Amino acid sequence: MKKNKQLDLYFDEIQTNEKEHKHLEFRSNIVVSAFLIIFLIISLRLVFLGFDKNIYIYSKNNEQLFYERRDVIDSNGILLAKNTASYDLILRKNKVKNIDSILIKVKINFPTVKINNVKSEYKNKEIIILKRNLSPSDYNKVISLGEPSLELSKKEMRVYPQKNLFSHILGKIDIDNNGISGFEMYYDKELRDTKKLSIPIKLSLKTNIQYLIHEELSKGIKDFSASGAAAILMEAHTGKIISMVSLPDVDGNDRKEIKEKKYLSKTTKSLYELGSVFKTFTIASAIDNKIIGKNDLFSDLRQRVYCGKFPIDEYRWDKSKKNLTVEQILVKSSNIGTIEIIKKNGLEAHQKFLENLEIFEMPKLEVVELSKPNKNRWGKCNTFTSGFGHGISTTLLQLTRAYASIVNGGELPNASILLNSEVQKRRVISEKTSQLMNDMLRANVDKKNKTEGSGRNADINGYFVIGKTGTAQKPSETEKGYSKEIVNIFASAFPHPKPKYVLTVLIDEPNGAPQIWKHSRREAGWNAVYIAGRIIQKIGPSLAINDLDLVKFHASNSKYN
Amino acid sequence: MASVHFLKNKTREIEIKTEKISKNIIFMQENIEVQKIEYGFLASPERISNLAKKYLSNDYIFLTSEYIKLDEKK
Repeated sequence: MKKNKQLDLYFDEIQTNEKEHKHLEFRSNIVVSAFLIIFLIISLRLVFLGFDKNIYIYSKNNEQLFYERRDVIDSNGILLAKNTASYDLILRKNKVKNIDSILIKVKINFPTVKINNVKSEYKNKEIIILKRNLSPSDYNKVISLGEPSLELSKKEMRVYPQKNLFSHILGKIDIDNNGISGFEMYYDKELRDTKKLSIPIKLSLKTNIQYLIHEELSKGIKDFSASGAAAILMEAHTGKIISMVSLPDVDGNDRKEIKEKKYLSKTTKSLYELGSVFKTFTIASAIDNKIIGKNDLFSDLRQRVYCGKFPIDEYRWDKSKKNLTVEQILVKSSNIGTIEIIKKNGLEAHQKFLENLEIFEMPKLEVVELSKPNKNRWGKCNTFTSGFGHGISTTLLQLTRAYASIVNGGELPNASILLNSEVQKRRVISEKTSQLMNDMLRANVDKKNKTEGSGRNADINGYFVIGKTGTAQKPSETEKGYSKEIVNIFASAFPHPKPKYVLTVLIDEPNGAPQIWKHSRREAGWNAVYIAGRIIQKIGPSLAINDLDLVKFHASNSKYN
Repeated sequence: MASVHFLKNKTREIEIKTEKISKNIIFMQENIEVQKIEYGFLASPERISNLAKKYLSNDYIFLTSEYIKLDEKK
């Protein structure tokens, strides 16, 4: 029994130890596995965190700063239009604690803000724009105020550093950066091309030349009490426009809407009867068709001829206009002589020539302000009057192109303000005709010519200017027929004998200038020519600097002057 | 794992630095753009012409070819 008891005891002891051991083992297993699970979770989390980019890697900003619209520069790289950051001052209603104290702060710091308007808007709107396009000092004022309800709203603004100098060409954009006029509208897609935002658009214009022409035209308007003026300077062989001015104009940075007619572009939009400058085309057509020669004589020219019932008068007729050579018809600007040339050339040939010069076509230029010239049906009478630029109207741009073709050797170029656009031109007259025309046009300007030409006031020493004047009555706006107001044009080119530049000057509704001439005559020779002469005198040296041929020509001819 | 963390922290530091630099670049670019516009205004022919009228002598003469003489001694 004892043994048994002992055995039992031993057995019991072993049994209880095994149980305890198992229990301990189980508990330790639980603890270890719990640790293992926690360790696994932590390590897994660490691995995931290691691969998670969103939390730690900063969002990368573009290292380049681009605005929504490309810069525009002139041919010398001078800035004409540029976008920049701008701030509007806004009032956020839900952050306002005391509106009266905020309005007092606004009134003190920004006196131009109309507080009454803000008060009325405050009732209806959550966000009120207090001031647009803050200046840097205004910007700093807002920051130093530290008022939570006054916020700065960042946006883009288009700036035109040359103010009104190119306003008729460049045009404007709206608040959303869309072009609404001029080059800005015509070239809107290209200007907003996201792939090219860092590349500025280069124009063929020259700021210094544009300024000089602008200044001389402004003086001209004052001197001759005119309502407006315009000028185009074009490279005769390429059609590239170096300068294009229309006055009056406005500052491109003013965001006001302009509705007044006087601000229309006088170079591409307004249509004018351009007068006797057309005699150049009439004569060029007949010479090119080998109908007449430079020295052919037209004799027994009368003071008045009739087309049906309508009389056509000679301008300032005297006996010296009775027998005229072709060159004298041009220099003395004889209307009757021109009609005789059309009769000899043939009405149809004359009409075709004008059409070939694209006088009646819609002008092509990289702006939106363009007008299609009015073309009436060709009749006998209006074909005659078209010979001296009456009864037909066109734009100054079309006249400039046509003139370029007459003086550049006979090729009509496409006009463009883009520096790198392809030059397109086609032949309209022969080189020989062009040379003959240049000689005749020089005779009209040359001071040494005994037959005093209407362009002699533009004979600037050293530039060998050639050209033809035109004076035309303006159609009446209230009645049928013509008003007493006139428009004067001088279409010129220089230097003869191979002109490189064409300059057309238009002066709208000029008056006499007795302070300059001691008489009150108001034909083109006494205003448009005078202005063109002053322009050439000013821009000539600047053009010559970049043009070695002109310098050489000027130098080689100066000793004979 | 420790090396991953080390690498990661280093990368973060560099990224913060580059972020600051690129923000500075943009800030400076904005400034340059403003300076370009200011230069455009300041160097505009109209402004220079007005300053010239104000501060420079106005007694210019236009030289014609008669004024040009060859130095025959040379």
